[in-house]
Amino acid sequence: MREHELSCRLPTFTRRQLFALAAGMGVGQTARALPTAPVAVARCADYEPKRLVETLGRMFDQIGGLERLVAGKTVAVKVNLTGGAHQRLGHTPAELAHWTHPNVIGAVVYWLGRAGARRIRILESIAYSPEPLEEFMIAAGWEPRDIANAAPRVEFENTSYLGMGKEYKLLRVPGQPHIFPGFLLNHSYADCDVFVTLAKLKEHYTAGITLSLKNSFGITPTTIYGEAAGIDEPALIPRGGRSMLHRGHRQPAKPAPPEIDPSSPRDDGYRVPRIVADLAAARPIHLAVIDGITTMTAGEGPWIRPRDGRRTEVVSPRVLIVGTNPVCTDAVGAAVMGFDPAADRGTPPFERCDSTLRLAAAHGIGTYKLDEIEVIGETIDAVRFPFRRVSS
Amino acid sequence: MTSYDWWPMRWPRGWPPEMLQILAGAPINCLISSEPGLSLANYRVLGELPGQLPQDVQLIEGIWPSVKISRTRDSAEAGPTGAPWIDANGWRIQLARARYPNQQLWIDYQPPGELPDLNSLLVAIAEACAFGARWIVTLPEQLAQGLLNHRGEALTLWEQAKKLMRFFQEHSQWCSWPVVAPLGVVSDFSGENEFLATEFLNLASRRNLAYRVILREQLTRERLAGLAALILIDGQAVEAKWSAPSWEFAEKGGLVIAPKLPKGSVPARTYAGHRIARFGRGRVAAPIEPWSDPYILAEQVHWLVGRRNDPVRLWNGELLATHCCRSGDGKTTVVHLIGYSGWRPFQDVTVGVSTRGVEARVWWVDGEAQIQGTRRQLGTEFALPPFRVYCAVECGGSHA
Repeated sequence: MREHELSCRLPTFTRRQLFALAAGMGVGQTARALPTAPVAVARCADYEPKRLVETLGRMFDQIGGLERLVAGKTVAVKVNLTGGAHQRLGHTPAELAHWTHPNVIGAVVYWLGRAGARRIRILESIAYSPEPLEEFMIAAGWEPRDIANAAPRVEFENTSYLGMGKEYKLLRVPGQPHIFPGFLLNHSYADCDVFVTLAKLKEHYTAGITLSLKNSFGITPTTIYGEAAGIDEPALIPRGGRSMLHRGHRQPAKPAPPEIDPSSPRDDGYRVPRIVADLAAARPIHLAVIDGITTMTAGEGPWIRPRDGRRTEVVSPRVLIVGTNPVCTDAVGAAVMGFDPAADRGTPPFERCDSTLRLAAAHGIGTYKLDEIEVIGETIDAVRFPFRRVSS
Repeated sequence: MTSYDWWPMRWPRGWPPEMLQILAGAPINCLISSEPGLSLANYRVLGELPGQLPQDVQLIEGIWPSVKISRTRDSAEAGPTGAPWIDANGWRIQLARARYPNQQLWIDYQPPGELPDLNSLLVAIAEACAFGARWIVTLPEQLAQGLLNHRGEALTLWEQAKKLMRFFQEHSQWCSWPVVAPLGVVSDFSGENEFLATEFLNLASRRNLAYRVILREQLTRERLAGLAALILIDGQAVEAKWSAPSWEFAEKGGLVIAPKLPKGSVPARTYAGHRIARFGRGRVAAPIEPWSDPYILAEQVHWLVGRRNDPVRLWNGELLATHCCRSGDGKTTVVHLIGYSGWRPFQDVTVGVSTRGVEARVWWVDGEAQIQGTRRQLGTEFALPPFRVYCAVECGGSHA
């Protein structure tokens, strides 16, 4: 295990939690405590750059500062730009509905630079195209130079294929995988010291919610895990979504490791959360930032036709959530959305799927139990924005 | 300057002269008929084409504009992008405009035998007009019969068609406005170059990569004014004498994309499948692997030119093509949006235009409105009202 992975997995307890653990654990009890880390929660009225920089700067301080994490390091930043650049929810720009907002990306990049990051690489896998990531952003109406200029040595890469790398890199799932024992990924996810995820606070048609853990679903190259993936070797060019991961109708292109049990359920509500948990174990997340200032309800993108008579709509919870443990951060995110992060299959938001939080916890990544997570800044109650009540 | 005096229609077989009344209110003034002795007052009547074309008219062949539909009507066949495949004629008209700059263009194609959606008649009219030509209005058999029998649905559609023709007649000045495009496409578009060059035009249009067609024998410094980039498609372009203005264009800061790098240029980096070298104040780019797939070429050229240079951006407009023109004085820009799905209204379409003005006049088949746009970093975005078939956005203001 690499050093940075090790440091990510070490549980960090507040004094209060240590007392609670000591009090609750009898002599001889062997229950394994899951890692936990503080999660900062803040209100943020809008995407005004100065306000974002100030708010995120305060939040990073609250979780212990970024210097210890990124100084002198190469930092990979996975953003959430799901779907196509030409898709909008109604007339709403993607960043105000289903994409991480560029000003959030810019503010995070700014603080990473200030904290001494040696190199910052903005990453996303554009499922249907080898399009350079900056071009994809411009197609959406963004100005990527604003992000590039937020810190020294900022780069962009579309990771849905080999990209700028010479070969794909195998990242293995430590311990017992749920579905895949490892993933063959674009070099960017291995050639970094620190992995940051910039997610959106959203529900998800298949996985119930999509926060920082689910954002890792998009690190898989579609040349290997996509509809037009190769068989004996990866395709040269990405063309198509990740139905293979959803439905399991075929195995990824060789030499990516196949599933450990091809007879396991082909139900996407079973598969997707497990694959997400496997990905989060294979490619540990060191910093999770969830953009919940303005977002959408009832699904992860404008293409979603919600079930149960709900409708997709733009909403403004006006909240940012930051943490170093993605399970803890997502647990707080789920609670802010009005869900019980400890919910199991059959309970909102996991009516038709397993809980990614529980599956990631099973990998030992972190705890989803709110009473084991220190929340700093705003309380969950103060910023709670029940998604189901809004769009039901 | 092209004149648009003629508006042709193919007289449906078996229609009696009394049906002439159906043309009242349409700008149609030229009828094409193979029926001997058809004499229709106030109309110029031509026999079968191309025999009797008016002197200032050039006839080009087209295909029925449509989305390739799979067996289930609600879904479309996907192209290599995953996006639906569209048969379109915009590129043919642009190429013909370069070849016959002083001629009026008539594009001719017949409706397919069984037309699943008669609304595509409107698409045919709008597409040709938006790109600066006239489609020889040729009624599908169902519609011709419906009109003959005064069926309500047919009459309604025909009224819409007449309204659309009148609209373009009233805005015929748009046809002569130069296209707003960052890229010049240079080729002779014939012989061994024809496939790659014409398919490039077709597929670049499909990605809304705007271009100016430049015949290689017409390649002069003047024709390159206002362009950001140039692609020399023909195999021997780099050595050929006719390409000389291209290198001057690069020297002065432009990007020239060519089959190979000129002698002496040293590639500094690779990007979008090409090696790129400095050339004076500009750059030259040549493919790492020889060009073969026009789809990939269009994609890579779009990235080399840079989407930042796109005059028009489009959201929720998957089945739309755009064509952007600007008045000679540069004060007015018009964006034509042609919808290839006649049966389905376009909802929630946003168009981004690289101009500073925030006000626009919008026309569609059923109405018009003044709308207010939103200034964004890369231009102004206009949220369009729902429309079918065609929409024009006319906005003022200089290039952003």
